[in-house]
Order: sequence, then structure tokens, then C-alpha cells
Amino acid sequence: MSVTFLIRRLFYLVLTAIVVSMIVFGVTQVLPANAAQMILGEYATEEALAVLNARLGLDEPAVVQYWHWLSGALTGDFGTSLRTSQPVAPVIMEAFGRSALLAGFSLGLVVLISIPLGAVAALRRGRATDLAVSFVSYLGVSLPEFVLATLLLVWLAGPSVGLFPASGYISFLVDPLDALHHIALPVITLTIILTAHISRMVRSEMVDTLGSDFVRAARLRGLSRRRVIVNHALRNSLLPAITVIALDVGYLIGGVIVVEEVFSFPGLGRQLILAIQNRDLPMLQAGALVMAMTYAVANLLADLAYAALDKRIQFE
Amino acid sequence: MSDTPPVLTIENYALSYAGPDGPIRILDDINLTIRRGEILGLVGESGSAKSSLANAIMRDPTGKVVHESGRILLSGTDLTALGEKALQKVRGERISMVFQNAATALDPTQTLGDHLIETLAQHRGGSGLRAKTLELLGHVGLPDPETMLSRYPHEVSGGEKQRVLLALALACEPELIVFDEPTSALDATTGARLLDLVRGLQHETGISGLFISHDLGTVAEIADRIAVIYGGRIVEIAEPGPLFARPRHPYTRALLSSLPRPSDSLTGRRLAISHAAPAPRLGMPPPCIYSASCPHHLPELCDAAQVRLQVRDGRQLACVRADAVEQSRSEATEWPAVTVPVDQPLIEVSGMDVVYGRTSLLDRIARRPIRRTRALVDTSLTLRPGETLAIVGESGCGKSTLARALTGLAPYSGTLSLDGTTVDEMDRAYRSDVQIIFQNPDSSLNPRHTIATILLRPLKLFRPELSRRERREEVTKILERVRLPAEYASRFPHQLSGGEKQRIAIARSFAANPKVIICDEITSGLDASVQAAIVRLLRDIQAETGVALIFITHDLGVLRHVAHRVAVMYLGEIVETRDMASLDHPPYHPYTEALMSSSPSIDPDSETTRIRLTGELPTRSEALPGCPFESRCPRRLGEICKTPPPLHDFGNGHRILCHIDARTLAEMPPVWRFSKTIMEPLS
Amino acid sequence: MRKLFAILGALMRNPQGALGLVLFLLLLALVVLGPVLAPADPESFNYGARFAAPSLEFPLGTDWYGRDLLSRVMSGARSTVLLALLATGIGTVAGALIGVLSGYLGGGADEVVMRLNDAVMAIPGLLFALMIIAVLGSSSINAVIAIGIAQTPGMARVARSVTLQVRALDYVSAARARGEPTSWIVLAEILPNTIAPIIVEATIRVAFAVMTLATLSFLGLGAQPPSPEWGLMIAEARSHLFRSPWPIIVPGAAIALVAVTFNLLGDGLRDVLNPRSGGH
Repeated sequence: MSVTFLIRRLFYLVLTAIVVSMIVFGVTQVLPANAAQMILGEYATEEALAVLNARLGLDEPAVVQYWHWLSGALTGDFGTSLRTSQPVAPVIMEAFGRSALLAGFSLGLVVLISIPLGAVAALRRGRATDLAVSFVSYLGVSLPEFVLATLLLVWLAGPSVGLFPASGYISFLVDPLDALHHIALPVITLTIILTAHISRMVRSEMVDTLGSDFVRAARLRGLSRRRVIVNHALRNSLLPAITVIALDVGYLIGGVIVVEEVFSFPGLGRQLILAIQNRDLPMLQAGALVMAMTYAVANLLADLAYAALDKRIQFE
Repeated sequence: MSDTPPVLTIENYALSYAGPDGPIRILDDINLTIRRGEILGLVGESGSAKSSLANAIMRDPTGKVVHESGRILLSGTDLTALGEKALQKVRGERISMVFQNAATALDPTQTLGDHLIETLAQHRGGSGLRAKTLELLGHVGLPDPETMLSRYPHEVSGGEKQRVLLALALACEPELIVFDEPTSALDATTGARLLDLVRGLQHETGISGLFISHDLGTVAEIADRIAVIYGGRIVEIAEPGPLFARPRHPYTRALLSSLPRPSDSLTGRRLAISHAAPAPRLGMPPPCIYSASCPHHLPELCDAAQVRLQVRDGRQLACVRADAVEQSRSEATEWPAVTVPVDQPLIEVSGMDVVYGRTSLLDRIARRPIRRTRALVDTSLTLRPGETLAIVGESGCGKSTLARALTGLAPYSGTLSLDGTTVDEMDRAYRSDVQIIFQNPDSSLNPRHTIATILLRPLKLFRPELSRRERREEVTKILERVRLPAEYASRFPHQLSGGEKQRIAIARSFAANPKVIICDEITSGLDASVQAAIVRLLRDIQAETGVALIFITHDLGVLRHVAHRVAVMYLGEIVETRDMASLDHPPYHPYTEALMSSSPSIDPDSETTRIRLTGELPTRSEALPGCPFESRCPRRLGEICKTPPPLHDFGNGHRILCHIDARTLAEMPPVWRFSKTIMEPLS
Repeated sequence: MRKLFAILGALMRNPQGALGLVLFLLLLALVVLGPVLAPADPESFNYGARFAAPSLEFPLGTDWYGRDLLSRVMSGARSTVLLALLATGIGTVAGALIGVLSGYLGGGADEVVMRLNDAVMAIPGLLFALMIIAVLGSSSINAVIAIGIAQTPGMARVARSVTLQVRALDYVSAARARGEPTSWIVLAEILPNTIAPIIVEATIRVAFAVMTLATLSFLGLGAQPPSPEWGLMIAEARSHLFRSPWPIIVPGAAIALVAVTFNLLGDGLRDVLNPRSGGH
């Protein structure tokens, strides 16, 4: 992997960060409700509003406010929550850690399940196994996370089965088993939905690769079926799959928001929804920025992994 | 040779695939043998199912098989009876295949060495695989096998990839190698070297092979016997000499008569336009597969019984009227007289340069040096009214760039003048006078437009004086001139055949009554018979309208039938310009000599000198100060070749860019030696 | 018109396309006639039959007020499907315009537009929609606008890559060599050949729009009660989670069915509209 390639990708990441931060900040700037108004309530006097506006720096031009916010964000200071009057950063950090745990668990399971599933479906193309996998994944990509989450909740956490708790979060540091028990339903939901997406992609990549000339050539050289599938077909299908998985981190983030809401899981998504419902600007900005940057970094890592594995990339 | 045991025997083989309108007959009544140490050539045009036969032998059908019968015996083992497990042992070990497209037949994520090692490990196992791999790489003429071992496919050239495929096929010393168009994707000089290699290996180790190609010339170079396939049936099998000198089957005769030969300039032979339609594939097979297109078809004789291959006069032939056919003279097609160019310049190009290079925003910010390719270097040429100037060269020589520069598609520096006036900007008048036809009619005709829309555009743009009705009438006239019915106006491009589409592209180019038409590889990718018809059409149009043509091609055979003059390009420069009339005589530029001698021919009346280029085509990224051909020239003089070469003028517009002195160039041996029989009446 | 029938005919011969088309036509009927065909009044309470399981009287059961779930889902179809189509329409038109222009112009303009576009795409779709809702406030129409805007960058990228492919083809070169005006090249040579892939992409995106719309309503940021919007129906059912699964299963299945319909239709159109397969 060449250094220029690395530098170029890092440059794009910085560019992305700037644009995202401007959007995140800009969106909250045009909010119809004024923050001071929200804090003081409907009956605040003009003077009180002006004083608070000045204290919050809201009377300054937008560019200056953006600079204050950005320089704060870069040093880990995201301001004070309008809802709780507590600093935003520690809350976001803690919530991010929990969400990352949830997403990481799910992603790991998804990779373990969807790659073999997609590969097997492609190998048994048109047969019963393929049709079953295709049917279920079709259903999976057509089912919003909240529907599946709510159904699983009703079924597995309901009084008749009662296999898992319906909500809550226990730290792994406190009680690993109980923690696993609590995180199980959200993880299962995310895993099912994402597996549907990714196994479909793996299948279609694998079908393409199986039809390629070099796989045919390998077969006609009399290589064993196992070797043709593992060393040639699968290896070449997994490269594009890496990019797809990174892109699906976007769905995963959306899914995390929804699933946390359904299972009352105290992660970043739940903080975000709370912030929107309460128009808690600093919290909303911080949450959105952290999520968007996580996605951008995931895509960068996928690009780098692809470049490291595919020898052809260096020459572009 | 006939007493050696057969390696491959195919007996009464037939194959049908499932199609939307019932079973499609792919192969029918195939009977052939390949003896040990023999290479059998298999020749057919597109749609003849020649590759399907290769797939059938490899037991790898590309469609859904609904019917299969007959036997395919490899040294007595019936391949059609083997299961997948047994086949896996046979493939690679006893029978192997060289594919057409080396670029896609190698796994991009695996080194070249690993390809060979895994194949050897599968069939041979044990140790010493690396040594054996190095030996194989050396065997196929790859320099520095040690480095090749760790290279990835994208890191080596097309010719080198094809050699690796050959090494893979040879790895386990199989009884039979199936070659499926192995040289079709390569340039002439690279392909010629690969053929030499295969021939050399055959003499050395006596490999047996089935060599499939659409190009009779290529097959003639390599095969001991040639089988001609049409519509999924073999119509004639003979040795190359007798086949070319005396083709017996009407289809073979039609095919051969549409192919150009080096001796054509001397004999005045014209290309015949064959009217062979695609063979019927649905329903009951006709008794004779060629009957629908055959001019000699007599129902009472030809349709009496299934026409099968019969041994006759030392060859196998599937025709019951062969004697009558032989006595009939092939209809001599009337070709329009060669136009005589007016001796004044129509287009003059001097010092034309085209540089390709892309700079991204980031490159500019980082102030990185810009990597640019010099696609056209200091090019000068003249085109006269009514003249055809051919431009030949291999891929990457800049011939298409020249076409794009002349039509305003690529920015250039240098001067260009039309009719004595310098062209500063490509205005409507210039664009109206200079038209272009592209290589691939599939992409040069907008699939969403009807033929009428396609033909009306140039009329609207360049002949605004025409009324709506006159334009409609003009479309009909134009279609008539390219020999297409008026109803085609309402059709879409995808409803037409490849040859018909190219006719529409031609029609579009002369709708504006231009002075120059640039034909960019317009006959590549077409079957020989279609190519002859297109060439003929261009000649007709030129005779009628006096239009000048710039005919860009990599196919040297067809040159003799279209061009007045030829310019040879190498790495962005014109290295030689000459009259076609003098093509058979030296002097030549060393590259011209090598290029011409790489072109395989089927001419019984001529013999082609064998000159082969080594090394790979360099990329022209930075200014190359000296001769562009220096790195590969077989007649390289020495260090002097790294300086700009002088331009020798041999008179009559014959110019050569070379350091070799004019006398030595003039004393070069001719590229073609012609047989006495055709030389004598001339002297 | 003849072309349309030809495409529909080809679609019917494609298994996915045929199923998608049939479902789509049924859906269309439901959108137009849903409230008329509904067996009961979707808003009428029926305290005697709360949380009823499916029966002859209530084919899909009832909710916590005893409202007929079939009737509610049928009358909710109109808002869900039409709003999803509207959202996708916004995203498709805006995205296609940006993508085709950027792709045709090329050079520096294209690079700047696409870098910005990629940066915006770095914001996950649902998050982007949530941020826009935070600005605009919670309502059905705001959710539609949010989804439309959130879909724009993705659509722009698709439209641009198709444009780049078409722009490189010889018929565009031929038009440029003829000296055709830019308007002809963009409108007559390039655009008609980019429409098919854009339609395919848009069809599949309707499925996403349906799901996102329902998700936003579920989060309380889209349709507001007492609308029979499907996502909202599930959100409301959460207060009575363990009494009966039907108020969740019925609208959930409806959402999935609509999403499946558009996914099938999109996949079918992809096969049919591919010009290489001899489409029209």
C-alpha cells in the first residue's frame, strides 16, 4: 500500500469531518426554537433572554459560534446539556461505549453467519437451500428493525416465554452473564436484519465470481472443488464484501438507534432521540457528530483493508 | 502419421441446449479424430459453435443441456460417461485448455507461481514443485522465471499472461491441449510469437492439440489438418495446403474467397461477398446444414439423405455435389474501379501532438508531478481528395488518438488545415466535411433512438436547407445506398445484426456529404464475409462520391483492397508512409517489416518472411528523445538509435523515419516471396 | 404507450417482476379504494372486543380499543405508500439532477460536487433524517421531506456513475464529433440511457422510504395519533405489549409486504430494463 494512497484517504476523512461538522452544526443553527427560550420557558422576559443568549454566546455570528463549538469538540468539550445542565462529553462517551459494544457484538456475529450463508446459497444456486436463504433474506431486508425488535420483545420477553429481560442494561464489569442476558435481544435483532443484507451481497458477489473465467479455468485445470471454492471463488468474493460490510455499518447505526429505543438500552441512539425530543442542542450535535465520524472511520478502515488485500489497488 | 493411435476420437456427437423457443441445436453429427502429435485446427465464423465443441470436450457446457448423444474418447476413455470426480482427475492431468482471454483466466489475487504450483500439487503432489514451476516458466519462453514466480497477473503484459496459461496447460504433460482462440486478444506481433512458441513446443515434445480460431490464417500457421465448422456441423476436413489451394465445400469456398491474400495486388483478385445466412438451429436439422445458403443446392440431390462427412480425394467432405461445385466458377464480383486521387492536399496535418493526462484536485494541492502519456508525437500527414489513406499499427500506437484529434474529440497542438485553410476551431463547416465511424456499432448507435432519428441528426445539423419531407426522403435514399430496406428507418439498433449496424454507422457518416470519412477500425470484430461486404460498400461510396477515407486498422490483409497509401504508426509516431503499389518491395521501416511479417496468411501463392519482435511495448510517459522503436528493433544499430532518427525520402511520397541508411533499407529482402506461377505471366 | 406495454409484458415473464407487479397493482387498488373497501370504520371503538384474535367478524383481530385492525391497515395504506413515493420522488429528482449534471460536466466541478456528496453520505441515512426532523419538527410531511433529502446524495452518486458510463460510449463521442449542442447531448443522448438504472434504483428506494417513514413515526417523529399510519400503530401498541401480538403483527406485516413489493418490482425491472438483455 503506497503512502500517497494512505495520505489521500486520510485527506478525504478530514474533508468528510469538516463537512459533517458543518452540517451537524448548521442544522441545529436553523432550529426554530431558541435555546435560551427553551431553558427559560415561555414567560421569560426579553432582558433575561438577552442575558442568557450572551452567556451562551448565541448573540455572536454563526461562524464564530461554529468555531467555538468545533474547537471545543476537538478538545473533547461538547458543552453543557440543556436538559440536564451536565457536561455533554462524559454522557456521550459512556453512551458511545455501550452502543459500540452492542454494534460490535452484532457485527461480529453477522460476519460469522452471513459469509458462509451467502457462499452456500451461491454454491447451491437455484436449489432449495438457496431459495430458502434468499426468501428469508428478502424478508429480512424488507422488515424495519423496530418491527422485528418489537415482535422479538413480545415473543421472547413476554410472560409466556420470558427468556430475556424486556429492557435495561447491565455492565459487563458488574456481571458478565447478566450483561449478556440483557444485551441478547438487541444483538439478535440487529444480527438478523444485517445478516439478511450482507448475505444477499455475499451471495451475489459469489455468484458473479463463480461465473468468472478464472474460476472456470481453475476448475478445468482439475483443481479440487474445495480448492476452487475456497482459494479462488471465496477469496475474490470477500474483497468486495468488505466494502459492502463497511457501507452497511450505516444501516447498523440506524438500527442501533431504533433498537436502543425499543429495548430502552442507554446508548448513543437513545441519547440522540432524547435530545431531539427535548431539543437539547449540544447533546444532539455531539451525538450526531460521533455517529457520523464512526461511520466515516469504518469506511476508511474498509478501504485500507481492501487496499492491503487487493494488490491491484496500489496502481490506481 | 495416420498409423499412430488417436488421442481424441469424437463419434456421432450431438448436443442441444434449452432455449426460450425450444431446444437449440448446438452441435450435430460431429466426427473427428486427433492423432498423437497432431494439431487439428478448427475454424468457423461467429455462431458456428466452435467454442461449444471445446466446452463439450472439456465437459463444461455453458448452457442447459437438453440432449446429448455420441461419444468423446480420450485415448479410449469415454469422457461423456465420467462423473464429476473422475473428470476432475482427467482435467489438467490428461486434457487441458488454453483460454482466449488471459486477462480474466488468471486469479487476480494469486501469484503466477502459485497458479502453477497448485496445479502441479493437485495432480503430481510431492516435492520439487518450485523447481518444476521455474522450468515450465522458462519452457514457455518467459525471461527471468524467478521474478515471474512472485508476480501477480496485473503486473505482467498480455503476452506474458498468455504464456503463463500455456505453461499451466503444459504443466502435467497432458495427452491433449484444447486451444480456444489463444491469440485473438493479442496484437499481431505478440500473437505471432506465441504461435511460434506453440509450434516449437510441438516439434520438441509432440503435443496433440485442438486449435480453435475464427482466423484461418492463424490456424494455417499451426495445424496439421483443418476442420471447417458451420452451424454446429463440420463441413470439411483437410490439410492446409490442399484446403487453401482447392477448397471443396461450397461454404469453405465462400469463406476463402472473402479472405484477402498478399498476392491479391499482383493477381488483381477481388474479395467475394458471401451471402451465407446463420445456420438454422431450431426444429429438425436439414439434411445439409448449408442448404439454405448454398448457391448449388439441388433439393432432389442434396435433401435425399443426411449429408455426412465422407472421405474423398484425401480429405473429408460433407457435400454431395462437390464435383459440380468445383466445376462452377466462383462468380467474379464486379468491384468499382479504383478512384484516382486529385493531386492536391485536402487535409494537411503537421506537427500534431496529443498528450493525455489527468490531474486531480489533490494532485494539484500536493504539487505532485503529473504523469502524462504522449499519445501522438509530432505527426504530419497529407490526405488528397478521393484518396484512401490507411493507418496501421498495434494497440496503443496512437492511431485512434489521431482519429479523435481530427474530429475534435481530443485536444491537440500543431496545425491542421482543410482545403488549404488552417482550422482554428472545429466549426460546423469542418465537422460537416470530416466525419467519423467508430469501431463498435453496438456502442456508436444510441440504443434509444430509431434508425430514422440517427440518420436525421446529421441532415438537420449539416443540411438545414432541406425541408422536413426532403429529409425523410433522404433517409430512404441513404438506406438504399448502404443496401438496407427503407423499413429499417423505424427500427432500433438492437433489432439489427452487427454488419447491418455498421452499415447504419456508415450511412450516418456520409449523410452530410462529407469530404473525408475517418473509419476507426470499422471492420474489426466482424466475420470475414461481413468485413468484405463492408469494404466493398466503402469502395462503392468512394467511387460514387469521391470522398477521401482515412482507414484505421490493425488488419493488414484488408489493406490491399481499400487503400491507396498506408501510414505505419508505432508509439504515437508515423514511422513510415508509402504507396500501396510498392508494398511488395523494399525499402521498409524495420517495424513495418516486422508487422507485415507477423500477419498470418492463407495464400498458397506467397510465402511470408518470419521476423519476430522481442520485448514488450514501452509506455510513452515521458518524452522519448530517440527512435520510438529502439527498444525492440531487430535491426537496431546501437547507441545512435537513442537520438532522433532522420526522415529518408524515397520519392513518390515514400518516407521512412530511421537511422539505417537509405541504401541498406533499399537492400532489405522483400516481406513476401511470390510463387512462380503468378510471377511469370507478369514478367 | 406501446413501449410501456412491452416493458410490462417483459416484467410478467420475469418471476420476481411478475410477483412484484401483481403485488404492486393490488397495493395500488388498496391505496385508491382502501378506505372504501375497509369492512369496518377504522376509528370506531368496540370495547366488547378488545384484543380480539382474528375471527370472521375481525379478519385480522382488533386493538386495545377494539378497532378492526384490517380496516385500520387498509386505510393506513394510502398515507404510507403515497408518502413513501413522494419522499422517493424528491430524492430521485434532486439526486438525478445533481448526478447527471455533475457527471456530464466532469472536471473540477464534478470533483467538488462529488467530494461534498460523499461527505454528506458519511452521515447514516436515518441519522440524517432525524437531524432534519429536529429542525423541521415532527409531522408526516416533514418526515417525507427529511427522507427525500436523506436519499438525495445516494441517488446522485448512482446517477453520476451511470452518466459517466454513458458519456464514455461512442454514440456520445459521435454526437460531440458532429458538433451537437450540449442540450441535445444531455437530453437526447445521455438522459434517456440513464433513466432505466435510475428508475430501478428509485423503485428499490421506495422500499427503504416505506421502512424509514414507519420508523420515524414509530419514534414519534413522523405521523401523529390518531393516524392509522403503520409505524405509529406499532408505537401505540407498545403500551399494551403483552396483551395481544396482533396489533403489532398486522401493521408490521403490512410494512414488510409493501417493502417486499417494491424490492421485487425493482429487481424485476433491473432484469427487464437492461438494454443488453434486449429490452426496449
